[in-house]
Amino acid sequence: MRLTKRTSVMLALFMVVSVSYAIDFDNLMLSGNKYYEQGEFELAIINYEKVVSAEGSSATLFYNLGCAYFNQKEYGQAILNFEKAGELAPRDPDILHNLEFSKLFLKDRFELPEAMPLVAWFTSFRQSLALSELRFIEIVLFILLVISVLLYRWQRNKSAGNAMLVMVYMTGILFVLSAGWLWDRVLSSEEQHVVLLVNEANISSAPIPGSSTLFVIHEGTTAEILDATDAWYEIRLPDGKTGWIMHEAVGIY
Amino acid sequence: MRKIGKMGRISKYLLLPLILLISSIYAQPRISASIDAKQVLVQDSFSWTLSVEGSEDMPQVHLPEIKKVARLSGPMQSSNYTYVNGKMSSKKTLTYTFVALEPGKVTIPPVQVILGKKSYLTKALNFVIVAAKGKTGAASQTVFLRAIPSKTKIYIGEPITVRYKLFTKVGVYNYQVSKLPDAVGFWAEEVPQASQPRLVSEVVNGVRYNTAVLKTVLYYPTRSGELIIDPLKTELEIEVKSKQNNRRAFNDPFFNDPFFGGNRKATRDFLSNQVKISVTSLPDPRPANFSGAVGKFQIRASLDTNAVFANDAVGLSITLKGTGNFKSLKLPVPNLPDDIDVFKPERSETIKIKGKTHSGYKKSTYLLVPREPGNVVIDPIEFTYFDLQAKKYITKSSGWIKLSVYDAEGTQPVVTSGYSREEVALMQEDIRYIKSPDTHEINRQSEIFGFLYWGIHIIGIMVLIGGFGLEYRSQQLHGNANLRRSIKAMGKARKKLKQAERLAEDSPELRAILQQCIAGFIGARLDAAENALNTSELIEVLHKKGVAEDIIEETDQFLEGMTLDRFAPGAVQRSASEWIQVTRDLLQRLGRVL
Repeated sequence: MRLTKRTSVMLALFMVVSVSYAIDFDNLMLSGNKYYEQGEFELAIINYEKVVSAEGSSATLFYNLGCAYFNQKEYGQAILNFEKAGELAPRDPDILHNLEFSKLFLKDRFELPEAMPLVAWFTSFRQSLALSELRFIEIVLFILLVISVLLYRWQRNKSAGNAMLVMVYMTGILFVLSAGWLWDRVLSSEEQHVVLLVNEANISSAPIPGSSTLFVIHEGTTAEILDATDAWYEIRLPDGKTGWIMHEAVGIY
Repeated sequence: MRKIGKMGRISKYLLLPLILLISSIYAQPRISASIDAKQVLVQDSFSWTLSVEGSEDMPQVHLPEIKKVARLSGPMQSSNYTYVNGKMSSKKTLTYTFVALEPGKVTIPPVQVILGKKSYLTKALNFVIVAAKGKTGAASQTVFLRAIPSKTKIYIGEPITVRYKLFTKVGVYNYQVSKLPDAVGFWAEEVPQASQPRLVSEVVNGVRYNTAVLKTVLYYPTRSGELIIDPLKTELEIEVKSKQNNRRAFNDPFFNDPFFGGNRKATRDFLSNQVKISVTSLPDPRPANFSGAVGKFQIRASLDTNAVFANDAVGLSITLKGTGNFKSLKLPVPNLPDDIDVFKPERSETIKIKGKTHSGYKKSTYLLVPREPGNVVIDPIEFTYFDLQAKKYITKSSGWIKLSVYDAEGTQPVVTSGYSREEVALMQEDIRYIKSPDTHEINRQSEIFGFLYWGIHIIGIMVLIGGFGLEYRSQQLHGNANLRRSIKAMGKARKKLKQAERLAEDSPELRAILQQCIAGFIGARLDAAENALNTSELIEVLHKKGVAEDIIEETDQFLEGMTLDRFAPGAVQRSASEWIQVTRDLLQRLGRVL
């Protein structure tokens, strides 16, 4: 009796805490949007960033923050936040549009060979589901697989048993595919990227201050992280060039 | 003599300015104000004159608002120098012309006159405005001029038209409007119209008049408040009836012929009414880049090419199209990056009065010379105006303007590549607007593979394993009924024991049950139909199985004893509880070996 009472109190407390967080986030978002509507982008950014620093996360949040940064002409921050929003909602047309649109403002442009249509389609298909969506699909398929295996095993009727076997194979194949896709997505999301947030940065040949500059990149340019030290990232640009850059200059997504 | 005369003239010329100077320094200026009539008829004009003597400075006057009259024109300035008896005197006059509007006593208050650095006050002047009666009144009803505003309550910058309409019962031969009326706080433009106004018949208060719009003027208010458009003055040449009075020299029917002036022409001045317009200022808050445009506008900006070599010129044209207070508008200036040189823009405009407002376009073309290769983005050019229908500020934007600047040396851009077709299409668009969040949409970032994820998988796998285990057992049992019987044998035997314990001491069933318990157990375990076996058969089966002799012996004794006890009670001296105990022990021992 005593234990249940304590548990219920704790549960209630937990709920209050979680709800109060939610209210806080919602209000910050709404006031951020209000400032945005009034053209006070700086204040909007402050509000959105408060949510981000409290570890709030949603596609809308990052999208709105990206829009506000865009209006402040901070294209690096805009791209960083649109990329983050895109990871959470990969098929949202507004996010894709604004990301592509922001990239028009970059000084660095890379001439890349055009990918084959099939490859391009596959690449985009691979990215078309968010991690959370894939996780959900994988769980659902797993549960379906377990249920269909159990049903098949307990089925005495022969024709129904055959039907159940087909079901087992189908759910099994789909489950393996979804699990594989999920695994691929996990691996690819662990591959981190940087966005340059400062106007211009030198890319060094080694993670040592004073090492020679290989080339210069400009705000908003994105690159893959290959390696990292305490203060430096080794990055690879879309055109394949690699070099080292200081942590302060970039944002990670 | 001649020489002296010449000298005299020269000295005169020299002296004149000197005297003027001295007189202006030493003489006390005489200031007086006057009006040219003590009695003025309504609709008649009169003038107020300020004259200053003995000062070189032009007087500056700030006339206060005077009730019942309206300013028609002025100030008219005139200077007059007289040279009398070697003495020079100067006289300057300022004349304002007013029109009397309402009958009553009018006082022109003391007016402050500033002369140089000093200020003076004139004395107050009184006069009377009397209502026009008789001749004048009749005339004013025969012919009158009305100012008809299209609206009386407007916003700053909202255009109104005032039509000056002539109502007449008599013929009008000619008219002349020397100038547009004064309208302080307005910017006015006359709407062009056909040279000869069209006559339209109209009935006013039951009297038929011929009417004609003499003038239409477009007014744009430039400040808020109750503003007044002064009356318009026209000079009309109208038909007046000749007085059949005794003044006529020849009172002869012959001369009464219209040809000789039964009606004659006369030139008269007519004044329209004053127009009062209340002008409201535009609502606050005003957008930062609002510059006073009121109406409906569109802004466009375009480059004549999107790709250019460094140091080559490219034209950027900004066009503002629409309707509204165009004339006072300035085109927005593009905000250009530093590495582009800009030359003074070429401006052109086509603005016409259309309906009650101006319509057309203004265009300025800038010549840009980018100096550095790269991609240049020019901020959207924005134009904010106040929409009169929506009653709010609207900002129109031209969209982003993008320019690829190539290195002049070669065709390849240095740092950058050109834009693809998709990107060029994208450039025509703008950043999309923010989204409003769903309630509780934002969650704290959580582990992707948290407790729930792994929990579901582990539970699933456990369910599968458990299911398979159960299924394996049930399949084993199902496939081999004897095995199942064998597994279940001990349970069954125990059940029988329990059943026996519950029976009464002398129950005849008790011993049968106990016997069945052991026999059934052995039968089930040793794959034999329990009931089909008698004692000797059971012992044989046990022997075949290779069970230890002592247990066989014990079983044999038990079964024999039990049979004896069942069918010859009293032969074996064992109570029911003793039998149960023995059965339990035997069952235990059998269970171990079978």
